[in-house]
Amino acid sequence: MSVHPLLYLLLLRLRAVPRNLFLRPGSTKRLVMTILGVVIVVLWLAPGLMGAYFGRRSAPPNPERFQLIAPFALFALALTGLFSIRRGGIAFTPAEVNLLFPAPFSRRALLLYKLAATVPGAAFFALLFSIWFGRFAPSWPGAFAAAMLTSFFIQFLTVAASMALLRLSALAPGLRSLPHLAAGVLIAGLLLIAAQAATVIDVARPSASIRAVADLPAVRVLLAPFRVFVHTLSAESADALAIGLVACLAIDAALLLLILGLNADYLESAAAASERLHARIQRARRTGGIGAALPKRAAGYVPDLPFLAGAGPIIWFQLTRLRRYPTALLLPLIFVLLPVALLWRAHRTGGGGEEMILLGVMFPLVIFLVSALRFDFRADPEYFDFLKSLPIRPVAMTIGQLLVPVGVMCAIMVALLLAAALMGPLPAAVAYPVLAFTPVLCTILLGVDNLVYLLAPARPPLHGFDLQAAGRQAILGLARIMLLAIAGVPTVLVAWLVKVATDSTLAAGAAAWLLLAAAAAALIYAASIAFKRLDVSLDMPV
Amino acid sequence: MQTSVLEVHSLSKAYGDTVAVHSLDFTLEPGDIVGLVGPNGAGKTTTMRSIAGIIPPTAGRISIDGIDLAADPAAAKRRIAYVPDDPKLFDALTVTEHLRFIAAAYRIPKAEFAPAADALLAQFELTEKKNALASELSRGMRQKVAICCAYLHNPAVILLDEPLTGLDPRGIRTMKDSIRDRAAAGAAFLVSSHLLALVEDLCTKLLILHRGRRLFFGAMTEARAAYASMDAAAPGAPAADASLEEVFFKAIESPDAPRETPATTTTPSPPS
Repeated sequence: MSVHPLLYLLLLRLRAVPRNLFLRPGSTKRLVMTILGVVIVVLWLAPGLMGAYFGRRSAPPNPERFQLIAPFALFALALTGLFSIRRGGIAFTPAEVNLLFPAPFSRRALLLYKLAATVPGAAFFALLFSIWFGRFAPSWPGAFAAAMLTSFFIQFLTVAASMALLRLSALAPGLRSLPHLAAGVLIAGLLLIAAQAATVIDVARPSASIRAVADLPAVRVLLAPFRVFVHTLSAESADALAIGLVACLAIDAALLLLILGLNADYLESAAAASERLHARIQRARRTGGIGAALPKRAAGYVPDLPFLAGAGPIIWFQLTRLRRYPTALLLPLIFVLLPVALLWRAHRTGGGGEEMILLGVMFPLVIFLVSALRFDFRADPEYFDFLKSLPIRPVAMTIGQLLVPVGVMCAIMVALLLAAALMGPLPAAVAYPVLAFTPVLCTILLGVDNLVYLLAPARPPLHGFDLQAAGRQAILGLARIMLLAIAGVPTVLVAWLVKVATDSTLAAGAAAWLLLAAAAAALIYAASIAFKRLDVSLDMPV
Repeated sequence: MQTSVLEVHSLSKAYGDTVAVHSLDFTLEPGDIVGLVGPNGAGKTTTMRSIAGIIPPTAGRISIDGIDLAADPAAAKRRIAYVPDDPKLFDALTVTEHLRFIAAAYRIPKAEFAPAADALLAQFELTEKKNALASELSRGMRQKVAICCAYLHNPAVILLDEPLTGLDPRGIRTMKDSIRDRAAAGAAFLVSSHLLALVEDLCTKLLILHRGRRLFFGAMTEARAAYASMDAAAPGAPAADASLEEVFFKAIESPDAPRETPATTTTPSPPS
């Protein structure tokens, strides 16, 4: 008996996974990234593997806390899937739409194919999770099976909701905005629950607050199916695990039967959703992630800038791009406004803790801003051909590319430092000198990221997991630490020597500033060399 | 006196053991429209991207309007334009903003920019779309915007890779007319295309590449003569009035066959 063609296609795609992950690095640089990615994965899994090998299993550090928090996390995950229905729900790849939709396959067969296509991804996720989590579970296979069934549950829930909406749409063809209506109802319900939750939350006692919210009747109902999966994942005995697995399997089977029973005509909406999703992915890959959403129209223009040896047009271009993607600034602004609000609240109530807020937020904020403000080379993976064809010298190109993100990052950091200076935790005598160092430090941080990017450019991965991306992150982390150490250690040393020699803090600060500025200039020059040497026919990712 | 606007001397580009372009020589004079043809993988796009300064050649010298591309890339690039086969526009910029950016990068005086941009937008029927974002344009319109960007700074050398892709019949006619007009005004074109009818209709010279090697460079009439002389008696040999298609297939099917060297083919002088 011959294999069903859709099953055969699945097998072919499965065979391609290791080829794409390991066997097609493309260039030496990408091979290095892949190897580093493997190292990162191994290091991440090592504790779990060692624990399994030596049979040393630690008890769950706090299973009750896991059972309390995890249902909320799974619910949040399910919500992202449910809200994606507004964009069409089930999405196929363009190749699947072009080749499989016109082929002689039933809707149900295509749907089963689509669901089956998620199995390898779910298995991979479950494998990683179970190895990592296995230390806390009664058995590794149990943890694997539970993780896999949890993954299926999240997937099936989205597809079932999508199918149900399509069925309802068919019954009321005039109601075109049914998915949006459903999303609105869902949001309204969540807001009602949030309002109810607000009455039982006590900020001073976070654990008790979460428990109180979890015990609300509406929340208990909402989280009930998720709790089944969480309890199975964290089962403390083989019996509990077995019972949990049966329950999970029953829930998944019921959802699958519901999906197949609904048998809604999803092809048209899926084709449209697939097109939109593919366009979004392509936009994100073209622009290093910042342009996934469509650019926003805005009246007027960024005024012309002087040529500045070629940096001017590039700054103008990045400023124009910044105007068109205002949402790219939304998260950084939230990230900085939140600690400012917390500082203000602490300042107003006089409860103290401002220093902890500042220290706690500064490091993650810096890391986040460097990665989020990609209005530079990192947003141009599609345009390197064009940039290299421009009559602009590499140094000017690099300065032009870096100036906008450096400026925005400086503005955000300055706002935070000023807030910290005005509200107490940072003495003015410290805050204002730190402000002077902000531009050079921002240049160094963004310069390092751009340099590493130019040495091995990348696009956001097409699929969820990418070994090269993991390797790149490892290199980026190491490069950040090394370059900051290379710039920082001599700076501190020289500043100390100047302080000893002159007994002047100002002179020591000035010497440190000059050294850091020299390091920033060296980084810009190194990035410009990397841009000049970048061979787009070899190094650019496809 | 220097008459060539583009001199390519011993250009080679290798990727490991694979040689994409092998010791390529040719020159472009003002007014030339050279058709660059060859099968897939012949090295056409690699040649164009090397000349545009996008990818570094492994060996060889490229001189644009008398300026060595390796010695002064910015000055050389100011005299050249390149439109790839699938031009990438910036999603976040409008049509006008693309032209403004090009004007700034190529230092076009403000007084010259507005009339030049308006004329190009009108010529390529983009006036109504001048405030549209690139992400809102069709494939053909994006191609037209890329061509407008290429023409805006009046380059001496224009490289076009499959320039008619996505254009409607009127767009094709406009494109062909614009190439002829600009060539008549002194610009030199290198047009890569698989559409042999276009090359035959438009081009004054022919450059045939096969597996990275030059098979022929010279006037169109000389191409016919060169391949007709190879083996006039052999069945399938192109006659002196053969179509470019016949010449093309004869050339790539017998890449090592001896043929008559065209009289007008010029080889650039070696680097001093």
